[in-house]
Amino acid sequence: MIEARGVTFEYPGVRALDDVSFALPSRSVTALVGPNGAGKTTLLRCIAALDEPLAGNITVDGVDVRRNPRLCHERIGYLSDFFGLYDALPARRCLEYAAAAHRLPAPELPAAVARAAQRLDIAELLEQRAGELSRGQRQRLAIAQAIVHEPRVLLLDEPASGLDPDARLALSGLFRQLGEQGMTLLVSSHILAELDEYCSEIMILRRGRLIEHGTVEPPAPSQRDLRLLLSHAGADLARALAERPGVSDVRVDGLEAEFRFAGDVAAQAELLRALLADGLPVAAFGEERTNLQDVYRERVRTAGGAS
Amino acid sequence: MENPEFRRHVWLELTPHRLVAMPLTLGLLLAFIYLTATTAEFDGGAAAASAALWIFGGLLILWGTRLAGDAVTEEVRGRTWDQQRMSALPPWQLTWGKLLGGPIFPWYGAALCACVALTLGSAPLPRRAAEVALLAALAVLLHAAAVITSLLALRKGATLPARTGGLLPLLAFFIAMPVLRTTLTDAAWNEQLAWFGLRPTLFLAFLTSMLAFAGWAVLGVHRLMRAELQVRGTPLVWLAFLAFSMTWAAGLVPPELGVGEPSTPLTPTRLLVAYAVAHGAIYALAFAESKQPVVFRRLLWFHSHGQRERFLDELPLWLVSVPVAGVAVAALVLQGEPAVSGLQKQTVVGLALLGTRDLALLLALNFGKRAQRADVAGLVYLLVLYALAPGVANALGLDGLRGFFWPRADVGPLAALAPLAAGSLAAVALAWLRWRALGISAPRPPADA
Repeated sequence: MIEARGVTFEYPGVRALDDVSFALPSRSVTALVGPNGAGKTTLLRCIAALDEPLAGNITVDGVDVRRNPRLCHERIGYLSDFFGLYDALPARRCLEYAAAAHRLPAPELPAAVARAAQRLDIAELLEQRAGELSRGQRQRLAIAQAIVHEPRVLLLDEPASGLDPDARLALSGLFRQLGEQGMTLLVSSHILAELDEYCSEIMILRRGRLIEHGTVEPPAPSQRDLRLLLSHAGADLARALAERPGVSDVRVDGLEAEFRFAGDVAAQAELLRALLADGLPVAAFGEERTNLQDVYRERVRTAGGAS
Repeated sequence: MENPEFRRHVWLELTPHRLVAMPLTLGLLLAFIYLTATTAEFDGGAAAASAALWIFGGLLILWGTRLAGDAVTEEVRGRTWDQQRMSALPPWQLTWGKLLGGPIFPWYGAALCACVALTLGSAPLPRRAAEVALLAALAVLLHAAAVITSLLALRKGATLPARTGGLLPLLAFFIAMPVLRTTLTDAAWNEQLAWFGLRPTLFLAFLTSMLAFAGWAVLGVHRLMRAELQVRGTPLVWLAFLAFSMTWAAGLVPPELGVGEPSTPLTPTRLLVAYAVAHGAIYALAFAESKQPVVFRRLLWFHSHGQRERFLDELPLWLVSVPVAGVAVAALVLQGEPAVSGLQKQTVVGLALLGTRDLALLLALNFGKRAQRADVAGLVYLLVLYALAPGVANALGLDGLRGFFWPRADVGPLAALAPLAAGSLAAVALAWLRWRALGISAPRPPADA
């Protein structure tokens, strides 16, 4: 759905994106993460045809962004990090304008506005002026504007900033729902735990380069990450684990060990029984679910070591 | 035609309260003028019509220009500009949506005034209609110029501060007043103006010129809007406008200003005027457009990778205008000796050398390590080079030094042009050295390119 090849972008004196290439499948929900200044916003702006890269190509839904930016805009919804609203207009007018500006026919406007308002839970605020809304309500109105024309692709830059925990939870549900309904989402955020709720893929940018692009799905059932904690020292934990069948990638840190295990839950139970039989003082033993935070830390650590 | 941008402005500007307040205020004001001006001998209607015409102009020129400029700058300040750029509105819809929508309230008031002026005026109806048309064309020209100013500032990475936006009506006033004082008179309908072989009345000349330049200005907004919306273009429209402006100005040369032989009396003077227009346009654009190193780096990249379309799209217009000015200079220099004297040729070449020096100096400043205020610094340097330094040289009686700043008329071509050429070369060398010092290398090609 979104394909980038060799995208390079420069600001005066700074290469913000350096030969970035990736392909995002349709219906995917991708987390775009990286430290400040990594190039996340620049990449989103290039995809949205707001900034033109020095080199490289980007296509959205098969449309070349550079050659046909206006057609792309019909298919893209974009929420900027620092968005603005027409404060003097009622929320309904803001949504009507956003929908009409994306060339929705006039007869379809009321239904589109109602649908977007319902999705963002702002139906009761439609007659209020945007300038009178709270920060969280403004954020929801801005997201509603971005999706009011039912775009095929939704680009969101820090969409949850300013939202309270309940609203964030609702937003996670909305993004999951949009993904299931066929929309492709690319979400940039610093709050990894939140992205974990709805993202299926992760892209990590660092100093303008894409250092990781992969899924955040849990490993296959036969390949799981397990964590073991001893109550006190005394045994050679690394050796005890390495000797066991199906155990690999053992990482020991004091009384704690993480390792990859090839086997089902029955094999896992057998492993625990064997470790206890060896006299290991096991205090905790269980599956370590991989989340975005882990993937990010691991990839950044690897990339940092490599550079 | 449905235009969401225009409709949004109507929502914001034409509130029910305003729709009532404007005719009430204007009605009371014009009624007051009508009643106080009416005497046994004098028809107050004519006075009211005349006042309505001036209010028409005032509303559009002062208030409308401000609102037109704000139609872009307020979007940037309110962080809604990206939303507009992300819309699917074609550039033309956004252009007229802003040009007409931004100042829609002054237009509403102006329309009411026009009705009064057309109904009550004592002059023949065609004349009154023509005067309204001239004022409307002037308003469109000024509104478009305000939007162009905002968009050019935006493209340079800046936003017009609110106080600068407030200066736009003042600027519009100073441009409009001489036009109005010349055209809204009986004399304008009797006096004639020479334009090439034509002899239109002063009013007709102003009206047609105003309509033409208003059209060009709207086209200018459209071109800049296209660029903002990332729609590709070529500099052909700019070149056409430059050619039009040069021709228009050349045609205004009065016959008595002809020089040289009677057989070709006006051509050299007209060429000189045309060159002056191109020269001025280059300076205006050189300050208006971005000259950051990244602009030239992109151009080099596109050129070296055969991306002709993108190269032409991003080519700075001041650079595009240089060959046009060069052609005008060449045409002047190639004129026969009786038509253009050696001294005139020498002066023109000298001006071209000064232009080269100034452009190179501006680039050198923009290629510096701290180039945030390069253009302001450039303006100061030009002031020094054109006024202060020659003034000091003059005061000290150093005629030789003065020749580095202005083309000298009291010496031969070599002595006059050599110092100017040296100054140009020095500035070009400085720009080149600063470019090299930036240490910019060619971008690596993408892996699959």
